Amino acid sequence: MFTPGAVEPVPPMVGTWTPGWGKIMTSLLTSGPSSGTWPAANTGYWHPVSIPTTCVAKRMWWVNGATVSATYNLEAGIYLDGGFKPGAKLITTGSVAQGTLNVVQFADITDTVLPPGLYWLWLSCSSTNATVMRLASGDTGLTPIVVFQQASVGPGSAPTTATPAEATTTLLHAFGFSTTTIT
Amino acid sequence: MTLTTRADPLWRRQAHSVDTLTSSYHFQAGGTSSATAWGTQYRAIYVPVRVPYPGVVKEMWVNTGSTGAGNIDVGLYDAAGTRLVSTGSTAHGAGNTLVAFEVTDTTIQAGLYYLALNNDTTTDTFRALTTSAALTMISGVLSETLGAVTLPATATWAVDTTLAFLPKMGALFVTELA
Repeated sequence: MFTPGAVEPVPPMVGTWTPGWGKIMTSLLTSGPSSGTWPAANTGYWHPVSIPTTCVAKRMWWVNGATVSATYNLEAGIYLDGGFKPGAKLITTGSVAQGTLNVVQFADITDTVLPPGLYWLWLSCSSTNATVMRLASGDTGLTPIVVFQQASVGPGSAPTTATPAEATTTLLHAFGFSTTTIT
Repeated sequence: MTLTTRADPLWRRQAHSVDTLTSSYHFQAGGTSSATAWGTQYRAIYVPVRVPYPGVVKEMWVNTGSTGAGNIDVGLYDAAGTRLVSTGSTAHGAGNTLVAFEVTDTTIQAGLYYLALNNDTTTDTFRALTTSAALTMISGVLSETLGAVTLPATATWAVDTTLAFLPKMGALFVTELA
């Protein structure tokens, strides 16, 4: 008798914490998400995501915090893996003005097919006054292991090829991509 | 269709549950459930869930709270927003327990589906995970404000920026092996 294997459906929202897709154990989550300021102006962060089945990224998203301004800009995107660290830029939103406080903000990208594999989600922000939702981990050593950063690459200037360094922040931002266009 | 509330407890059945606790994309450390008022009349909540195997949906279930003078509708939608099966309007019951309702046997394939729940009051309570609007949004939870308790044939759903709880509900099905 043939027994079919399990199928991994494509979730509508994919992020570092997405069960079965994210690379960070949700059991490490101790609180949040909560609003907090961006760690360093014009610095971007890569979070890993492991995609088990082919999907199409249609929009990027992040969650704005309690203090927002259209003068603050963000850029989100997806990078290919470069050997267990971020590699080449695949797609980004370009520079996007921050929108409404305390809600998910979507930004369109060209529909991008993502075959199974390891990818790196990118988010940068122009100002340390901007706030976004982030998650706290109970393991202080977690972030340098899984998150990379690059400075002097503000929104609109996401590097074509990553030059990643270990993250110096302990923050885990809530962002990712959407496989739907539901708003 | 005849709706029957079964008296025997869920754990005694040889059935598999796809539900908001074990099959959704919601995550929360130390999450606990509590009796939560529905809050918005006719606000249908749609929670995306993973169905890893094909199967036949036999029943829908919900965890009611102790306050419940109104009616509910519990259903299952495909990823495109088409209603596959639902209980139709039925009394909340105020049972403060897990309540399962028999529905028309419905075969579904593995994939992404949405569990749906609607209530025609603001005050009926349901056991729910207390969470945050940010977490429900990034978990892909959607909602739709309707004009009645009956779930629509086609959902016109949207991201809900204020929903801060995740009701405990699910579908019970038997797995089919090809």
